[in-house]
Amino acid sequence: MAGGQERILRRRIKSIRSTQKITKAMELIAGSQIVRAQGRIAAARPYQQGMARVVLETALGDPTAAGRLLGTPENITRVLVLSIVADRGLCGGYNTTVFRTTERLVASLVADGTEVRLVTVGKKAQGYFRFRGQAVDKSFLGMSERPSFTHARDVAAAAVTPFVNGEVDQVIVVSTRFLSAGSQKIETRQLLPLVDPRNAEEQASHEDEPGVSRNIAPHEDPVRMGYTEFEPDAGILLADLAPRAAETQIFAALLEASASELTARQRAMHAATENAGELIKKYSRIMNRARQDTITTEIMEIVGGAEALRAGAAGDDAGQVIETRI
Amino acid sequence: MADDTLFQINLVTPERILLTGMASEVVLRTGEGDASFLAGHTPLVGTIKPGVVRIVRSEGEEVRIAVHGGFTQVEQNVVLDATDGGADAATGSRVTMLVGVAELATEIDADRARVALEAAEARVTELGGSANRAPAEGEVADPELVEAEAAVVRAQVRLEAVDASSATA
Repeated sequence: MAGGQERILRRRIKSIRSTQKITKAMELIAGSQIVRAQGRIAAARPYQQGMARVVLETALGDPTAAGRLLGTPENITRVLVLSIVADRGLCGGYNTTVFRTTERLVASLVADGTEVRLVTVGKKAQGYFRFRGQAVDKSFLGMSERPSFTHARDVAAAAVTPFVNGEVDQVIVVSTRFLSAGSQKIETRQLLPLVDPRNAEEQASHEDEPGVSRNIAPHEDPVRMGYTEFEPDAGILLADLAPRAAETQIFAALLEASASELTARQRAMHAATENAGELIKKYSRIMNRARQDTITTEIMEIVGGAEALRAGAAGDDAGQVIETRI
Repeated sequence: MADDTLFQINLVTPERILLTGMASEVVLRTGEGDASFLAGHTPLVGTIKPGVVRIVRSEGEEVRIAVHGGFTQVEQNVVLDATDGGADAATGSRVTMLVGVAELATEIDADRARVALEAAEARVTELGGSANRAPAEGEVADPELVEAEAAVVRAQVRLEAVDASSATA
C-alpha cells in the first residue's frame, strides 16, 4: 500500500539527515584543525632549515668524511621502507594511495632481489598490511592526529637505527606531502643516506621558500669553503648529525602527513555532506509523489464511491418513476 | 650592523623557535669543551652537550637555558631572513643552536626536577646494581639503564640552570 512506502521513505530521509549532521561536523572539525596543523608545519621549519644548513656546511667541510651517510649508495641489497598514513579512515583516498605506492615500491624492490623491511605509521597501515600478509617490522599508532617530536624520535628508533647499525643500505619514506591547502602529493624519497646537499638540485623543487636558496647561495662561493671549524671533526660530527637530521625529516613528514590527512578528510566529508543533501532531495521528491498518489487514490475512491451511490440512487428513482408510471 | 659587538642568535627546537634576537655573548658546552662565542667568531659547526647555555642579550640581560643535546652553527656574513626575528641588518653573523629539548631556566620547576633527579638516581642504582655496572663487557648497554642515566643528566642540567639563575638574580 502506498502509505507504507511513504513511511519507509520518511524513515530513510531521517537517517540520511542524521548522517549528514555527522559528516558536516567532521568536515568542520577537520577544517579547523588544518589551520593548526599548518601552523605546526611552519613552526617546525626553522629547525629543519637550520639542520639542512648544518648538514650542508659539514658535507662541504669534509667531502671525504661523508662516506655512506650522504648520496645514493651504489650497491643496495637491503632497504627499509617507512610508510606514513592515518589512524582513521573517512578521508577519501588518502590512505589507499599511500598503500598502493608503498606496495608498488615494495614489489619492484623485491623483483630486483632486494631485501625489504617495512615500518609503518598509522592504524590503517597495520590492518592493511597484516591482511595482505606483508610482514611489518614495527607499526606505530596514535600519532597521526597530532604528531610530536617525541613521536618522530620513536619512529626514528625503528626506521633509522637499522641504517645506523648497518643492517640496511637505504631508508625510503612514502608519505603525503602538504604543498598547500589545495594540493598534496604522494612522495617517495630517500631518507638515508641523506640526500647530498651538494647536488640537491633535484630537491630544489621542494624548497618552496626563497629564503633557503638565499641561505645556501653564499656557501657556494669557493672562497668561503674550508675555513669553517668543526668540533668534533666533520666525520664524527656527520655521524652524529645524520640520525638527527633523519629524525627531523621524519618529524616534517609526520606533520605534513597529518595536515594532508585533515585536508583529505575535510574534502571527503564535504562531498559526503553534499551527497546526503542530494539524497534527501531525491527521496523527498519520491516521498511527496507517493503521498500525492495516496491522496489522489483516496479522492478517487471517495469520488468513485459517491458516484456509484448517486448512480445507485438515481437508478432507484428511475425505478420508482417507472413503477409509478405503470 | 648598528653594533659590532652584537650578533643574531636563534635557539631552535623541533617544534618552535625558543629564543631569537640579538646577543653579545653565548656560552655553551660543545663536544670538545666549553665555548664562548662573541661577535665575529670563526664559522663553526659543533655539537652541543647537555648543559646550560648562557646567552647575554643585547640589553645586557643574561638568559639561561637548559638544553639536552644538539648542534650549533656559527656563520659570518650571512643573509639574515625573516626567520631571524628582530634583525634589521641585511647581513651579519649568526649563531644557530639546534636542540632537541630546551627549557628556559625561568620555566623550570625546580622541585619537580629535584624529584625527577631522585627518582632517576634510584632507578640507576636499581638497574646498575643488578647489572653490576659492567657495560664494558657487552657493547649492548641495557637500554633502560641508558635511559635512566640520561634522565639523571636531564634533571641535573635543569637544576644547574635553575640554581645558576637564582644565584645571579
